[in-house]
Amino acid sequence: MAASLASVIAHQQWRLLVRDRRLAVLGIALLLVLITAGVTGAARHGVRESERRTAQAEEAQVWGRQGPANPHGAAHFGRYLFKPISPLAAIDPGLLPQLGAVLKLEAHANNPARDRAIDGGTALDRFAGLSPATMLQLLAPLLIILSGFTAFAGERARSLLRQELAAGTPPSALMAGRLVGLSGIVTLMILFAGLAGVIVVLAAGGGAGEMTALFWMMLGYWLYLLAFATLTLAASATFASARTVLVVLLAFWTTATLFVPRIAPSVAEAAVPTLSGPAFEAAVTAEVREGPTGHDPQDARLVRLREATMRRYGVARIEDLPVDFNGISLLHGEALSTGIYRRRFAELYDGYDGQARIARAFALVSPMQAIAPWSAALAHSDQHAHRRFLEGADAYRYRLVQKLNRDIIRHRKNREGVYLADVATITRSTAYTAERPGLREALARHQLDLLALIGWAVVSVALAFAAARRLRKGAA
Amino acid sequence: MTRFGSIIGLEWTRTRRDPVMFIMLALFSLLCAYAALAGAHWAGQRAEAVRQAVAEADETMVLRRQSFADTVAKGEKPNFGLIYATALPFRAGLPNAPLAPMSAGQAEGYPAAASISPFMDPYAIFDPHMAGLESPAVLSAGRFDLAFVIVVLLPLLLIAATYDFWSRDVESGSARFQLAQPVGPARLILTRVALRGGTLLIGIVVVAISALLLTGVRDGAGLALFGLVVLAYGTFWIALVALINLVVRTSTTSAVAAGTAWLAIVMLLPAALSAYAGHTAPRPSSMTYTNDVRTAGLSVRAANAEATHAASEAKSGRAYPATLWHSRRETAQRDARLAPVHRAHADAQAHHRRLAEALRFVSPAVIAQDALDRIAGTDATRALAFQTQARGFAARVRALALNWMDRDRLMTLADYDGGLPRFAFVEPSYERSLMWDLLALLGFVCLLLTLTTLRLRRGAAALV
Repeated sequence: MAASLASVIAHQQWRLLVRDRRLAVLGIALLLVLITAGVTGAARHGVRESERRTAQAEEAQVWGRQGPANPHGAAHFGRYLFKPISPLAAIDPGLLPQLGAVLKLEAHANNPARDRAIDGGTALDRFAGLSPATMLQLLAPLLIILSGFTAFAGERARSLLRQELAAGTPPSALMAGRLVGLSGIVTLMILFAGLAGVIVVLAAGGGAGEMTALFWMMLGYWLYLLAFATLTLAASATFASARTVLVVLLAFWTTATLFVPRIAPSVAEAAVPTLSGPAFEAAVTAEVREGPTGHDPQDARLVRLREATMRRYGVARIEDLPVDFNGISLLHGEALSTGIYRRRFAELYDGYDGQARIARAFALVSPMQAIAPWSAALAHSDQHAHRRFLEGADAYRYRLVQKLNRDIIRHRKNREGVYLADVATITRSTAYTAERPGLREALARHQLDLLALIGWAVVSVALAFAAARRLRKGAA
Repeated sequence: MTRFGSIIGLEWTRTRRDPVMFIMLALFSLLCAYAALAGAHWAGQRAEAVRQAVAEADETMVLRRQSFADTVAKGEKPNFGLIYATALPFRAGLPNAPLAPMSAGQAEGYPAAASISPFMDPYAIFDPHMAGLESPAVLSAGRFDLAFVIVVLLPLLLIAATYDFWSRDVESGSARFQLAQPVGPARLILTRVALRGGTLLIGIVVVAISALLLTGVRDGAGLALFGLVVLAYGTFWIALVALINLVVRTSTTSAVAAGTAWLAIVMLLPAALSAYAGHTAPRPSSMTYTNDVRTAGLSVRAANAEATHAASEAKSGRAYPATLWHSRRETAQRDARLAPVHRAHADAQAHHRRLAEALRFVSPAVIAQDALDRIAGTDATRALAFQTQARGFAARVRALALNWMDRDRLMTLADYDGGLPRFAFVEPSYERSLMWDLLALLGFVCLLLTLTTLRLRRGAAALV
């Protein structure tokens, strides 16, 4: 009986929502903006990726065109990697504008990626850009609030609620029916967004892997919007006037989507401070100069290495070595500095992860703190995917530089001066292959975000039914 | 007391007794205090980072001087790194402006330090420092500074306090009674909204300035300009809410309309303008630029391969070795070859920036952000002025090194003890751009007041 009543109410709520012209206009506007943002994002992604592939091929040609060059000079000339972007980033660019896209690989240094989209901007750039993810995270909840804030409060004002209850309809059936009706709107919205996402991903060159990730992404958004829908109904059932409901819900929306997402990272950074560029550089330089212990100067290390090398080859003078000692010195120096850089960068990235954990704790007060990292992780536009790119690039840099150093070792310097070699041939077999975190890894790393979203949905449903129990009192 | 005086008195009493006003002001005070402290912390970190970058070169110079003095004291000849002016390291740093804690602005998108040596490519001097390590999550969310509180949250506060100042009276029926009094509707309504919104706005300005004073800001002129911008921006929002109140009939619709206006002006419009700027005047590709610079550098290196080898074998017979004379020639060739590449990239960037700066006049929120950034000294113009001045300093350092080479002049202890140039940033003027921002904000206020007046002219019947 209650179930059939709920279904009738759901049907009625659905019809009311669908017939509401203002909501239809707002919904279509949101959908159009979402599709526009998605299509322009996909187009930009296509152009950028095509440009990146061309630029990367050109970079390889530049490296190959060096001709005879000193291998160590070539290692300083270095190579460049242009960061590949996942097709799903057209839906959620995540942190990409704040992360560098161009990386110089050279001897002695593990450089951070440069040329961030936020570089060189104006006041206009301080405002968030439009992407499908922004629409779903910011504007879709607002549309849901506007759709549902009068669900009970409006009927209470028109004395319809009292009539419904007097007719013997259980309050829980009233809530269940409206919940199903509003959830239908949420589901429809997600279906449209998902469909737009499929088109965007296909246009951006995505495949089956991206489609699976898109499914999980949309599941997260469904839970996120469901939480807003049920909270809207809970507020509508709790407060006496539609005006109060609207003010309370808008205050929640502002807090959840504007305040908390801005305050959380700032609190996290205060708790886990990030080293400034010069401080990081100074720390690495000091460690390279004084050794990891701080009491092993570079000169002393070089003397020890020289003696050990002469012992190994059984010679008394450095000139008698059958190999080039400079190459050996460079090989050891590179191993040492790479170890130091990697440890320091790992500490830096672990610090970012620590900040992310603190920011995630704010998901208790805002579901956006869960959906934003969830969505960005699945789009490979988060810090972890960037770290994976940088670590893969550094592994390649190390192989490349050490290959050049080994070549120097093998070719002892003679009296003719600087040793020159065909560095392109030497390094031909050393290639970089981009590696992204897999879907399982992203899901495993962000399962807490999914749990938080499920928690928000479950708690808000419980709140809605708890508010429904008080409907009789409110309607009287 | 006159009828008008009674209405004013009534509004004043309502304003004073409205708990929402005090809750809003208390909430705003807390937000301002947090934002000011967070801004001061950020500004302090940035100043320290710049100091550290500059100090690194100073420490290197002190070590060189010590080494030079020790070598000379032993009667030996200092090595090439100590005596050739071409090997000297210099740094240029961008200091914070006095009101930096107020807005992070665009500061994190521009270099704040440059690493300079005489033969370095002047466009590469900003590469080594300070970029790429800031927490991306913090950059993405944006700093919670006073500019954010003013540009994004202040309108919400004013809307919450004034959205129903007239529509509520229309709903309750008291509007008809007020309009029946012998007071002009324009005078009545505008005075009421000015009193209600103005009281809160003045309170907000006092709180925001106090928060800045709390963080140690003592720049009186800067604070006055800051107050002026907040007043102009706040007045825009009060005028907008007044107009909305005259157009709609219910307080709920008024709240929804004001909220939608906020969403459009503060979020959607700037995002759309940014997308338009990116589409119409796209930023130049950093990937193509990187390859072009490398190709140009490589072609100069290839053209000089034999000369480089010859220089390493040759004796110059002068104070500076043949390799340095060769580097000097190759540097000049490289700079000449790279100049058009750098210029094309810089021109495309400037084109994008000019369009974005012009588009700011479409949204009052972007105008306010721009004005606050300029007052805080974290705007693009000041950052670009630093780049120009740092390149100028690099040219001066190179000229010095070339002059010493020509005169076979080697470094002396006296040079180390104060004879070398140091970078000093000259503050560019921002008053003109700020004046345009203020005029644009006032223009928006005038437009809204004109629309309000036109609405009021339709007579009392149209207002209830």
